[in-house]
Amino acid sequence: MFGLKMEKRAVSSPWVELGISGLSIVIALTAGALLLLLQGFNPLRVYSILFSGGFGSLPALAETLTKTIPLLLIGVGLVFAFSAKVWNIGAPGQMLMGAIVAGGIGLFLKLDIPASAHIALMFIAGGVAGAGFAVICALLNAKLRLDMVISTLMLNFVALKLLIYLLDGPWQGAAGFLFTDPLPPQLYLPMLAGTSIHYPTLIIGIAAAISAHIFMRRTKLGYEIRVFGENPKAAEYAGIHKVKLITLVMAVSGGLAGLAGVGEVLGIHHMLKLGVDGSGLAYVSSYGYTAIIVAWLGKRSALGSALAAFFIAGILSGGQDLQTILGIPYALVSAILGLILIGLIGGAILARYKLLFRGG
Amino acid sequence: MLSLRIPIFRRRVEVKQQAPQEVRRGETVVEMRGITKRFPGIVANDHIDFDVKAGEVHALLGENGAGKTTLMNILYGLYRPDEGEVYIRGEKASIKSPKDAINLGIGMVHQLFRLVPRHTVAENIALTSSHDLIFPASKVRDKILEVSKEFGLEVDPDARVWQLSAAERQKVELLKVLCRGAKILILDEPTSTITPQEKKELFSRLKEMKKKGYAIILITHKLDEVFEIADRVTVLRKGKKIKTLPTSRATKRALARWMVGREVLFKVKRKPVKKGKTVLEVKNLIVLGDRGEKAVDGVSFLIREGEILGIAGIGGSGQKELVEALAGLRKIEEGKVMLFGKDMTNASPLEFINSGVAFIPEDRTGVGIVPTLSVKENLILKNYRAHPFSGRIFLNYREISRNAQEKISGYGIATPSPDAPAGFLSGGNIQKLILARETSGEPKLVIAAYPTYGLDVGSTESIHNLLLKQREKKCAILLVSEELDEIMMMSDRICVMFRGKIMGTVKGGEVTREEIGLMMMGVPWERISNVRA
Amino acid sequence: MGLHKEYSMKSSKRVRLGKKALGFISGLAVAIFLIAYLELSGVDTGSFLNRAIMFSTPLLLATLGEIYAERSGVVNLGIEGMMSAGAAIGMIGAFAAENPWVGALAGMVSGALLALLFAAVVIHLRGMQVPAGLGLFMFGLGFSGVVGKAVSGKKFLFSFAKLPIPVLSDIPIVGKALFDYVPMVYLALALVPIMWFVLFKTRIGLNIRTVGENPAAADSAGVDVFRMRYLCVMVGGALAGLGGAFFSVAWMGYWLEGMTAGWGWVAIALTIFSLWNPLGALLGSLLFGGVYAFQFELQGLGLPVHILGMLPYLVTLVALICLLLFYRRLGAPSALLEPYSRE
Repeated sequence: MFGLKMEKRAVSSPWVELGISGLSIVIALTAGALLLLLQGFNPLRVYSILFSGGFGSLPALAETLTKTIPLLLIGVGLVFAFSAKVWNIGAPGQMLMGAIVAGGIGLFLKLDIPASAHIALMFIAGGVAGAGFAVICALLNAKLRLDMVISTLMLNFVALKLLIYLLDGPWQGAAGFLFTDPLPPQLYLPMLAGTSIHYPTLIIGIAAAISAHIFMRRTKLGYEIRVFGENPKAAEYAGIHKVKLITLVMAVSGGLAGLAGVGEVLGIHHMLKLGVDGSGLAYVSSYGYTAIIVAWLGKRSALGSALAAFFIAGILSGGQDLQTILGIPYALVSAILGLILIGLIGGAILARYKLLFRGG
Repeated sequence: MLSLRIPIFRRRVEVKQQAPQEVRRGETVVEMRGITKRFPGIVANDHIDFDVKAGEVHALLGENGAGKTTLMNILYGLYRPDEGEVYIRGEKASIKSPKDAINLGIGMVHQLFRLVPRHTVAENIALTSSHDLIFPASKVRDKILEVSKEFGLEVDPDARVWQLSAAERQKVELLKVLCRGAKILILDEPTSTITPQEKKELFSRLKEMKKKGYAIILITHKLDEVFEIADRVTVLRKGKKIKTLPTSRATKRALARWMVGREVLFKVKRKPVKKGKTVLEVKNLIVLGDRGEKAVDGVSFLIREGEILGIAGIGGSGQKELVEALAGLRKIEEGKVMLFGKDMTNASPLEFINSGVAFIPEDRTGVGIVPTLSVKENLILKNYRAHPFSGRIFLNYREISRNAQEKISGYGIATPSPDAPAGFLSGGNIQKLILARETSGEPKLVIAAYPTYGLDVGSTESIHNLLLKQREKKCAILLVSEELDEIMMMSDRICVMFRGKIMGTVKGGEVTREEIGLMMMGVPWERISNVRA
Repeated sequence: MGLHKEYSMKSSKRVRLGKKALGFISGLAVAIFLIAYLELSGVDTGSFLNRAIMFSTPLLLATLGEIYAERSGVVNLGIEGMMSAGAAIGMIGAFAAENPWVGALAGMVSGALLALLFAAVVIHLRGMQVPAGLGLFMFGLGFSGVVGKAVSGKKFLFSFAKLPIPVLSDIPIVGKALFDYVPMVYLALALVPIMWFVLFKTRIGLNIRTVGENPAAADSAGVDVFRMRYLCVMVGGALAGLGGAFFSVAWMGYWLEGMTAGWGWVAIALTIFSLWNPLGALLGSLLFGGVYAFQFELQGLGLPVHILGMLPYLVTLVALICLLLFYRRLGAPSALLEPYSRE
């Protein structure tokens, strides 16, 4: 019988990690191709549109960069959470809370202050809203040991229902559909000429990525987070305060998700509507879930996530093109992303073991 | 080794009850020829020949890491050998999993018990021994009662395993194996968790089984046990078989030399050290265990500068909870803990660390280090908060690297580089890392929980020397260990715990092993000293 | 996950049985009281309960499956993905064969295959279970969105016919509540005692529980740990897929993207709430189904629709919180989330 054997590696190497990421993407795309074939599509055509739609032209790159912004912000936040092995699956809900708060302030809070201050206020409020929403789960986890995955997820649906309630009810716009009136134009974020890249949010995102990178690698708290994530028992013996850390990473990741929500409202939609979080028909397309792949592909490092955010944003843009040109549902993107994540998780073993072929 | 087997859903084959084998005493029942097993970077078993006869107890002797457990894991089907063959009762056997071993009549009692604490005794035994599809636990009870009577291993089949003591759990493990009809028994370090008296009971039962024709393999690193019960002994060292001979022809010194490869000192040099002021004082401590019971029940003792206090006792006597309470990890219900007179009852782990308490945990890799972080980052786990390793916010990696170099050479930690993940180090080196880290801050009190467990003789000697050096520096040391020899050798004074209470606190040189053993079983020191007098 | 693996102080068997009986009787009394109150207020309790139990069916199926998976030590967070795929593939199968049973079967098979992929990654490749489950969730939803487009919105005309049990279904209130369903509901309800019995009273169940508590003990005793885990995870997938198919083929009669609306995640919560016991799964899913049905009653009173829509998710959260307040330790399988290897 022919057998595949694995042998434990003596040392690990960063090149192997990079190779695994690449391999996972290739495997995911291959599996996706098979599924596409079964559905009667030509995978090569599909993938060429996918990549050209993401990176093939200047307008495509602009669109990709636009989508990179929320993915970058949320992804960096999730890097924090995942480094501590805190499974914050609530980014979609936290993002929505940020968007809701910003929309509410923009529509209903008339303040006699310069527009830039007003916008800054909305960002702060949105960030606080997202952070607060996340900290609820952190406290439930700390006091009651309620599982983070469950609490964050349930709150996602609560936030979504809240949004729909507001859009269908008290905040409904004059048009009578599921979106609010447009925000006053002075509250629009400036964009790069000819594109919808709302660069203030982008700058915030890049700043967040750089600070996160420095924070995780070079500060005491970053060290504590890494120790706690890798071995919580050792962290306890070292006197590291568990509740403080969990609350911190949840607040940061929730806050960044909230900021992303504000950015989408102020920068792209200029109103509050369904789909402000990136989701279409299916809630799974929300940036909050996609950012999980971003954080994981980026090997849970902030700078890696920045690159991953750009790459995955390209896939999202390309996916939109696929929908308009070939009529393939946007859901294909989620399927590919899910496969990439599965591939990454499965491939992780190759960092610890070498693959050997053995006959006999 | 990990191999990708595609799980095929085989038809469920009825597990056959082992027919009572008519075996003549003296017949070779197990023969292992040329067994070789390699792991990356190490040859665990190097062309080992090993055989066992019916009606004998064959001791497999070697220090930790010599390859004894690996060899027996191969016999039991948990590992597959890279080379070599196994013959059972003269026929070549292909043992691919424990199921095959069980069908061949082989049973293994592992060093760390493989029981489910939440399940009952019957449920645990039914796992191997029941052939019934429904109500397996109740239907196996008759068998349990029958076998336990035959071998004197009485246990309540309906008790939950978490309620049982270590010796009782061992009985369950033995019953598991015997109810399945095993005639070849492998016992891996069976005496590490039981009292000397319980050990005597176990050995007399083994002798009875021997008379009935069972073949018994005893894995041990304790020389005394070899002479107590074994008929033959095989010595392994660093994966190679050194010698096999009848115990009647062996001497302790020769065995030790074969085990370690050089002359072994049986006693460590302990200089007399003048004791200073009281470092740690514990008064009437009550600490609850995981099940709400009083794990530590009114314990009082004190340790002075330059003194080693050894805590002896069988597992589950409350040492674990005591140590956790002293590290700030477990709530103290009543009583006081004082460090240099300052009340530290229920202080946090951080406060203990800042007060100069060093802690060497029982579970090295699980709790003592962060295996995925580098050696140099592990070395600062205790004192990263302050100068020179960090400022207000940022860590000073230059200092951290320098410190790593210093500690690696100073303590002899074998690592490919300071940036290598700590989990890649061997057990002995991990322990050296932990010691280096914990003693670097000039601690006043070192709490060492089972510090040499699972280490080879060389590493054990290093750790002992490191602890003694701390003692000479006027540090107070609390040493918890299950190895009576270690306690007696290292301690200035000895405390024996039993069911959360202290049976007696005695001076190191003034008490015998038997007396400590009695205290470990619950006999208070007053009674023993009265009998003496 | 923040689950504690500690053992509770068990009082004697008789006291425990007595407590359970007391709990059961008082629960029954509360239920009878509620029903009487509702009837007197003019509510058609019979059909209310009927709807509640029907709503709880997909959840019950998914939870039962996940209980088995987690009992063997594997947490499969991808239930939502498997349910969604089951809904889509189930619908496609049903349309293709013009037979709802084929749809149900197709849903089961798709769920089982997805679970197989997950199991391979998590068991053989020892991947981290939490993110792998998240990947399965995204893949399942995406996959169902792509393949389901062909049948999106189309009404399935050959759905299950209700099968009221003669005579018994005519009993007022109770009759409609217990004996007037499509066959799949009876199937789901029947699975509860069967799966309970297998898990706690048979050798297979003992093997499964041992694998989840201490896989080394199971391995040493000759139990094939990998095989047990694969089996349990795939059972979980099959039942999740079946539950998804129920959504589309039996309940709604059509398929829409995202129709599972997070119920797969609720199943995860209910697995904990059920204390990994099929009987608890019944209780939990009935609670959720009841709240879900209840929100429609409350809509009739003029409360805002979407706020009421939050109710089931909030109640799930609150139920878990209450459980955690009362039980200091929940007794999760001790080896949950840890991959097993012999080294």
